[in-house]
Amino acid sequence: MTNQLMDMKHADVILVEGGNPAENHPASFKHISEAKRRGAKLITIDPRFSRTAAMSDMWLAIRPGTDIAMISGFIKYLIDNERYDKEYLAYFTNASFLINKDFDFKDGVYSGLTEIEPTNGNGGRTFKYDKSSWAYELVGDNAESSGDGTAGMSNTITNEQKKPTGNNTLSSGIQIENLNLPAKREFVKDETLEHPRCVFQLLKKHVERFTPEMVEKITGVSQEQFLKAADIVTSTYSADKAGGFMYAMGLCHHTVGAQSIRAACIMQTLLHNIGVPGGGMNAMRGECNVQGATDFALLAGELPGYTKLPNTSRGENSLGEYLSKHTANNGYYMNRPKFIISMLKEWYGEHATLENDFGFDWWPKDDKKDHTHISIFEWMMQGNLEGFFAWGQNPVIGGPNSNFTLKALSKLKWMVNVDLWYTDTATWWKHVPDTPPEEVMTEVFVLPACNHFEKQGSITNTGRSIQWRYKAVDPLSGAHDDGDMLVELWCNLRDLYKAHGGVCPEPLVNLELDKFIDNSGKFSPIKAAWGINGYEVESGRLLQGFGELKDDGSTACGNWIYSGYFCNNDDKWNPAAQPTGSRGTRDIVVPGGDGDGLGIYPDWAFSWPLNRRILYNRASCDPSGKPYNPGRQLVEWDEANQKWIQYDVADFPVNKKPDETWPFMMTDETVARLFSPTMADGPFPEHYEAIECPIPNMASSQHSNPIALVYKGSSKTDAQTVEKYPLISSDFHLVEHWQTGSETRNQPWLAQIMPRFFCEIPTELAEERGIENGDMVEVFNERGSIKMNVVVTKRIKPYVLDGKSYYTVSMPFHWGWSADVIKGDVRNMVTPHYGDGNSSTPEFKTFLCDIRKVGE
Amino acid sequence: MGNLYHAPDVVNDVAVNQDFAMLYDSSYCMGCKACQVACKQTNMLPAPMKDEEYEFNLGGYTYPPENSGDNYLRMVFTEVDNPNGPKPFDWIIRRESCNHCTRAGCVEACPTGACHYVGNGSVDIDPHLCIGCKFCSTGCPWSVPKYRERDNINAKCWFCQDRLSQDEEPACVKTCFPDALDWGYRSTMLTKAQKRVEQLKSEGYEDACIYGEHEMEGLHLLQVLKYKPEVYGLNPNPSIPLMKTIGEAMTPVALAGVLGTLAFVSMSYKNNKNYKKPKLHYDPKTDETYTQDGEIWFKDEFKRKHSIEPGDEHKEQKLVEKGSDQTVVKTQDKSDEEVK
Repeated sequence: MTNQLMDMKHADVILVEGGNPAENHPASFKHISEAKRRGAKLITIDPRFSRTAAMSDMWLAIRPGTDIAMISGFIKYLIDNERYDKEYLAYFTNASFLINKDFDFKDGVYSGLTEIEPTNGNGGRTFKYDKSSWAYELVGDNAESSGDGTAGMSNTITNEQKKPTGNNTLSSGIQIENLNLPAKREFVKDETLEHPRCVFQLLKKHVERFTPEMVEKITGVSQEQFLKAADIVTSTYSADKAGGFMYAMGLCHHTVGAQSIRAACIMQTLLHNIGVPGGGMNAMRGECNVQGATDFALLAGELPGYTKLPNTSRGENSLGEYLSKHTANNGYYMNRPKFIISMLKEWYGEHATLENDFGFDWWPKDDKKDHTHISIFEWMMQGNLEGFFAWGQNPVIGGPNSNFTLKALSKLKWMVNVDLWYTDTATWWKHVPDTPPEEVMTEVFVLPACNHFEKQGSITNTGRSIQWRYKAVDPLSGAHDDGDMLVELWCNLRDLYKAHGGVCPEPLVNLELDKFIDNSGKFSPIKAAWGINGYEVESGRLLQGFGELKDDGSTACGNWIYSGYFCNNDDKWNPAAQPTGSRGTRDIVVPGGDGDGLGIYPDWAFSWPLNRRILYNRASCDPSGKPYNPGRQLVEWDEANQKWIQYDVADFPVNKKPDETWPFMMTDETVARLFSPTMADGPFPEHYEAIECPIPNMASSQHSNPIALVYKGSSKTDAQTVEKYPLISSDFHLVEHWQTGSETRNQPWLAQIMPRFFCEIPTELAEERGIENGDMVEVFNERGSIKMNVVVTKRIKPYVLDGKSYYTVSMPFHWGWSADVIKGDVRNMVTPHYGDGNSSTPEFKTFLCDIRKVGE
Repeated sequence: MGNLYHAPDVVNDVAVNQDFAMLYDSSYCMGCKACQVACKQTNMLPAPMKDEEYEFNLGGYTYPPENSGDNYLRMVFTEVDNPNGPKPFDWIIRRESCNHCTRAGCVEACPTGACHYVGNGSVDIDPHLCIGCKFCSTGCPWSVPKYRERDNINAKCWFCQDRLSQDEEPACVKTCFPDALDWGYRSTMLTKAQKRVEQLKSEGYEDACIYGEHEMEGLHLLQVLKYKPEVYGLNPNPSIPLMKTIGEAMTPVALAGVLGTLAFVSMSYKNNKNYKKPKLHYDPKTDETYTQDGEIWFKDEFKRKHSIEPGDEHKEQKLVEKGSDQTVVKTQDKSDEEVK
């Protein structure tokens, strides 16, 4: 989330697409309500008339999985109606950059698509992009690039277009073997944005197809409604207006998930809604600490602080080679070696020295196979995994293709489930299809964990605020802190390795986890917090921010973006004395405004990075440093005193004058990317249909994302699927239940307000099939079949194309068999094994099924 | 105003004779049911523990299917086609709980005096006097009080009098995320509701109205509705049912039943009359609750330790702000707001 929840009150227009904050993020709705009270317009784009739609001024009933077409329509509308500021685009974005002559886009496919051998573990992908033509034109020579378009987790890979300088000396003066720092690039630009090969013109050409007629055909939203919404959404381009974009899993859970979000980013950047109060790209986080989990390497292929795992298949065999690839040639990531070496130092302590590359060899390496959720279970099914930890996760219900998951789990030798409850993933062995429980040979261990009231530590909320929470009560007997379990596990493994030796013991033996153990032999979250925050190796002094990190091994820091959150050296053991534990309610009032506070509350906890509340806040004032919207600026250039005034913590080096600053310092180009060569499936978002979809792609002849993760075998999809299963299945979450329901279905007060599993179908479908409200129905396809009550509703509209109606069947996924109070069938029995092209996020929201009545 | 609970002789030396009311603004309600859970929690009302005890309710969202002695509050969801407003289709949400009438049918019907006007606008059923005869339910235009078998009484929303007496809003108001619920003087709430209705009308909701301004001589649950009350399933002209017709409809058999009931009532009354609920007063300055005789009944050690010192201007200002209809007073120190 680039902005924060409290900041939403400043929005003039809030667009909710692929999200349902009234239902899934009720706390955020306090702030949306506040914006509504101030006159904001709320528009919801959702296949269902959700609770958020009930609160909205407008509801656009989109067909599931067509968000890119809708947003591309908005982008075309704003370009056609000149609802953008040329000066802003030229300074703050890469709109003026020229692109390589070889770059091309034809009929839904970008230049560089190449076929690859389907190998075991690459996610069932048969194509990848060679990204060498997706490059900027540089001053002096033609773009020289070494693109590697291997599909997978590549959303933050630094740009490939790097020219080595031969420099092997880091900023602290130490020399690293094989290091070859990249040279700064000079881009060819056309600030008039007229050149046919400039990013702006390419984007204009790219979205040309998405006329209101085309948007109506693809999404099912009438032209009249689309134009009305487009007018409201794009009205936020003017400097005195701000528009916030809120999204959640409705954009993510598709084979084009990452690109849907990028489409919205592009729209928000064009409309100048990034870096201003009330604007932003606001990812609504569905769990209280999922932001924290993401910051600490939630994704396969990452290390804490959004650091890529070293990849040996790309020649990153030593620290020098790795740093050469991942150090930026401009912008803030020029400091990357400091973050990497400090992290290595924190992991391996005194074992990490300059001579052994600070223990780089002990880090796990990315083998470029897909290690995301779906592929883990595919590997398991093939018998490649012996053991499995489901730690605080319930993949049997929460993951796709549950029947497949159950069978895969039965191939394991052992499995450990750590959870608060006896969840479905602890009792899965009773439900394996075609296998009686006594024949399941997997040994299942269940370790009861304590919940967040029973231990202390920090949680990071959706607005990146890291808040310390204290222990309120002792855990029930037998339940343990996750930290204790991990540390104990590590101690035992280390002792075993020390006693018996083994293959490659160093990564485990040299890992210095004992520094997190306190005198009582338990895991100490405070000691761990010191390690995360960072400290001087010699003195142990806590660092005040990542500006103090060094690349010579004299500092250690577990996660550079968190640096400064636990930094009070005078009272190291007291979380309340630290920024993360502070609870000040001071607000900032900007002179020249309406006298109302900005709502950023800088003393309430700590927001990474550096307590910055609104990211990219350089964009709140123009290139010369004057506020775009006086009274709503976050920083401002004081011409008289020649310095920056900061209302929020500035998102650029403040020792530079306005024309020298980096508007978006986290990219190598130091500007926002409208054209992004880092995506795996195209520098611009392109509309593709879902893999299982009865409707042809009307934007191009490429039906679905060519590099999506597709396991056709386990998904049991074939040519007949479209004929046999005519209904589109989608899912949603309910406010009454939380995720897989293991907590809420065990709580009678919450069970009572939504006790029964149900599916929602449109009235037209019900009439066609003779189904009545409340009937028992079965939803089924080749993967599974589930029974539930039916809700016949007008809140889902049929999609009509050439006189034929296509219907959507929507279900919540919170039910399972293992709760004490309420039970129900598992929705994900029918979900396929398809994943997003970039992130491999499973396709939960668009696939095919059928429905039949089984009882009154 | 130092106390949200109406206690005319205690309130900060100012004589206050106003009723309190709850304002429910359906146009801000998102139907999250947090109020429902808060109600169950604060009143410690049980819910069924077994899967078999639950059933599917048509429409899928209105749960529980009916209010009961263990459910004082629920949200009702209705789909409406072509309502008179800017939207072609709407999914409207309504609060169903006690309306706390000025002239309450339950009080008039109650044979034991268990149903009573609390004095601050709320209507409560004293569980110690209630005999579970269900007359209150038939006397209520909306049949709000529900019989509860486990302790043989009729129960309903009581506007959390226990919380009010401790200077806290009712639990549902406290928990409401989008601020669709508000609590304060009835006159203040009415002004706020009128303003909101005007605003809704200007947005195109031509039938926007307040439900409860005049109904039953004035309800203490004021509802801002986007459409006509009928659209929400609310009776636009509620009146006390049956009361007048009881005598007419009474047959000799029924009479025997009634006489039997009356005998039971008098027995129960006799059994219960010795119980006397002590009248309690709360002094915000010392944080002590004491009886009329001056005996300390309850002392909140925790609150005393953690509350702001008496005389602190912050607290005083905040309290004023809650009750009066003044514009929001900033409670932060000026010095804090200075820009760095």
